[in-house]
Amino acid sequence: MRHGVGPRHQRLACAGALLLVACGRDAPWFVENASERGLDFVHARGEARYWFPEIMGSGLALVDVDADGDLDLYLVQSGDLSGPSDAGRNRLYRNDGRGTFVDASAGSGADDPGYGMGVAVGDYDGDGLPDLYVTNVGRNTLLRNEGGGRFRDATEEAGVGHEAWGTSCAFFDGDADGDLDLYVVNYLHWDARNEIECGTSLGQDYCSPNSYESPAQDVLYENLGDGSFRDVSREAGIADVFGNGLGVSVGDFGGDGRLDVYVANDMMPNQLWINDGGLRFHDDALLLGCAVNRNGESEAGMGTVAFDLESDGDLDLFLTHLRQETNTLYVNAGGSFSDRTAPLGLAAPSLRHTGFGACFADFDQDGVLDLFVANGSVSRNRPEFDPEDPYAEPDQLFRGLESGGFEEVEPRGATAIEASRGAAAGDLDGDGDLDLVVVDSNSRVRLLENVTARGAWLIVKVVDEAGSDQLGAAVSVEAGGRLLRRHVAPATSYCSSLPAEVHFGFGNATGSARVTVLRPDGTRALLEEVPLNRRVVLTVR
Amino acid sequence: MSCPMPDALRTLALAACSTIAACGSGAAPGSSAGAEPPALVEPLSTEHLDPRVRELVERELAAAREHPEEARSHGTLGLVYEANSMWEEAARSYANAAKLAPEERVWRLHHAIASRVLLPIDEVVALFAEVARAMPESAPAQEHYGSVLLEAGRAADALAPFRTATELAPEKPEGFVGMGAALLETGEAREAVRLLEHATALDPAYRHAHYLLGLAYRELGQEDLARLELALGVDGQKRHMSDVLAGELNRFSASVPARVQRAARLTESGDYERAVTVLERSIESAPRNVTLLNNLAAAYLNVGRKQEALDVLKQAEEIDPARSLTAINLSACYEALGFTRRAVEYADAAVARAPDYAPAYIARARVLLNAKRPEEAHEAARAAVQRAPRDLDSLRMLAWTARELGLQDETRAALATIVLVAPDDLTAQLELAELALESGDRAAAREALRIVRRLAPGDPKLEELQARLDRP
Repeated sequence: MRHGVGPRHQRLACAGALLLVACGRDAPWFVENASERGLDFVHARGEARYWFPEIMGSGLALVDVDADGDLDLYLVQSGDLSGPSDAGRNRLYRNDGRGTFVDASAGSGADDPGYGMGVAVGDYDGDGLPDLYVTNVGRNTLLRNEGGGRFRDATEEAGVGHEAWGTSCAFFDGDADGDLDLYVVNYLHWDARNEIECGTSLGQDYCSPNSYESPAQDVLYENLGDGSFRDVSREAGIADVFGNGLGVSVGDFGGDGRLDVYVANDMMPNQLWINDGGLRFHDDALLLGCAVNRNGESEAGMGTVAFDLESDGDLDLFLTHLRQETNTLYVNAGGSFSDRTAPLGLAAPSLRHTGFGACFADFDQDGVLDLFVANGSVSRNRPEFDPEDPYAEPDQLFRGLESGGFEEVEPRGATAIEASRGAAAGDLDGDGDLDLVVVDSNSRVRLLENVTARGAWLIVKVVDEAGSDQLGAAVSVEAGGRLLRRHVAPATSYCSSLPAEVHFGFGNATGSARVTVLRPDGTRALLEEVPLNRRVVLTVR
Repeated sequence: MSCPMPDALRTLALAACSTIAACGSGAAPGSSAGAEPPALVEPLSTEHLDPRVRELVERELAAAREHPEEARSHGTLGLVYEANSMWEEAARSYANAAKLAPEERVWRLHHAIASRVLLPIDEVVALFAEVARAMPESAPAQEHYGSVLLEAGRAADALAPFRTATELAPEKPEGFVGMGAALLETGEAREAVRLLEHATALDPAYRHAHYLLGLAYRELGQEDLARLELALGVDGQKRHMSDVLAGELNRFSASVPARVQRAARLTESGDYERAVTVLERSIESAPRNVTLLNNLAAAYLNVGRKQEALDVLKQAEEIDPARSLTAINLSACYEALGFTRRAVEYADAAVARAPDYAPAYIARARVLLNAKRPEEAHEAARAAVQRAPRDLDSLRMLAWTARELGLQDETRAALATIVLVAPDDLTAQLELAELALESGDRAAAREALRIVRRLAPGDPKLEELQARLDRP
């Protein structure tokens, strides 16, 4: 998968060929090959009745469910709003180790039939196997991993069958007691009986969330350590606030060793739940500068990503938004944020699109994070991008620049024009570079195989002695004179879950790397002389 | 990457753009006289067009066909398209108007405004730069130019046009706000505070200015002031200086949502009669739109036309008997007509239809409170707050019902939440001050009055409460 021409080389070549070709265009970074790789999932949103959930799509998880060292794929299906149905069953595809997938849904117990939205991955029972929590329009489902790609519905015994309109969700150790608690974002109180009629100058359309005037509260579950959870939303302070929640990111935003929770709300101020310890939180997003954009306006928060843009050790935030709003990048400086979207070159290119899923990843492996945004409208476009689908919009790919900004990559190889929703990046074929999976509303899933990466790489997975992924760990890698930092934060993008491992690109570096892992509880692990171009699993005690 | 994208939209917009560029600022007025007038711009597609918008466009097109050689005909069409977010058609129409009458530079300004969402930012900046050069005496043109430079990440460059805007229109806050925003980007928070304080003094209701002032205070480490200003400013809308065409633009908003919004604005400003007229005309093109029928009924109620409100709501109920909103309005309508039992029945129906919908419980609380059933009203208000803990209407209803029952702590808690969510809620601040005085909590009263003084220094209630506080 390295047969593309690298972007740096491409740009040099361009200078010499200025008169022959349009300057600034790259060879495609991806090729789409879902069918060839065995993926036949088609997202179904149900009969088009202009019922709100129909337009919101769903997410996915990249997770090694069978602990065989490769990434499997869990795809959340929407289905039929009249009730659970076979059309609405989620799908599990297992990886054969070479990046080809086999539908293993039947009999796996993972094929939840609810009107699905999102998925979180975490080993809540500490047995070394990643479990799944699925949010639905309706009752959510906890799927306990029984091993061998088999799951069991453990919702009732765990007490996490919250019935609402769940969207993104995240496992994290909120009280630092060694087990994973669970944060569930809810969108709004929706019922078909409350549906209302909306429209634009183009006719009947889906309503905006504020038309329903019914934002919901999120839910926080405390893991009791015996396979069950307790709803602590009220004591935690979470239930005091409501919002049209869609996205979630977890990380230590203030640098105090505790994991905080950031919630992206649709057309309402976002929340940054600062962890005060003991599963108590307070929302300080407004003062910290990440509740609204630099104009003070709430935006239509869809997906969110927590990532370390400058490798300075703190977590920055990115949110995707509605057309005619910008996507927004909040840069963290000492725990407070500044909206730096425009200076970093990400404001203007997003004005014509509605972003949902987003992935910051070093796709070209030059040591600088790039950005993929899955776009798709929630209200009718004029026949601008696709005459057949008024909700379709082109996805976007941005190259990260050494200067700290971004520039859009064109042509948009394989970043199709669809109504895209969930997206996640991971090394699906074991070649060390990051591929993408995108769920498009009412369309076939897309697998975007990376054909541009050329530089050196390293993938680090951090587990404890039981084999459980260490969510929230910060991983620093020094190689080739460069120090890069990433955080293990799978709950991200839109209703999706990334692999619980971190990827680094190092350009033309050779030799070995020095890897440091810092867990949220302050414990460190160090690994010297780690050869590049491999995936390493680091066990911490 | 500034290579143009090869889609139809961009091609059209660029065509419009280059037409104007060819005209140039140096073109002599009337230089196109004698040439064939440009074709009037028709909608790109009418297939999904709102009937009201289609009707308006057809009417204005017919009028424009009478004088296709006049810039005004094309410009008016541009306004019609711009008012209904038909940006491509608007940009092309303004380009035509500007070509026919280069001396009427406002068409160039609106051409740039319409092109803003169509073109890459570099091209937008270039368009506005040209407009700003051509209109050095126009504060709106300078302010728009500064804004697009800011959007392009060129804060330092944005300072000059914003400064010019403040010099041309020192009575308007937008230029000062733009300068403040640019200075925040360039790290000059102290100067930003000075300008933004001036802007908020010019227009205390301009929330966007308060938000930026909060950010500037935060940069200076003044956390208390920052919290207050950020809360005052959150969810304000950034606005641009209005130009001579703003009134006409408003008049041409024709789609149902635009008309409902316009009616809401008219209602907010107390112009209930005009709100009724706007909605009645909208109903003609969408007689089975239940949302519109409900809005019209509410407007009728505002002007005391209760029976007409009831008739409209019965129509809505017949079209969609499951709609909670209709039941809420029917409850209010029957209450206004004096039929309390029916009002309670419909409030109950609203709750049954939407058991998670806070406004249904607010409706129930209101009608029960007026029916002298405060305990049940209070229960309904609590249910509303349970479903929407920071919804101001729910919290107000909770405060009223709690106060009715003499539940001071609960009243105070509800009011405190209101001012936390909306520190500019004058009524809640005054009630909090009053409650604090009643309970002898002078410190809390002083704090509430301090905020009231900032929000409404001339409020007569303020002086009365201050006098009570000052008494030994």
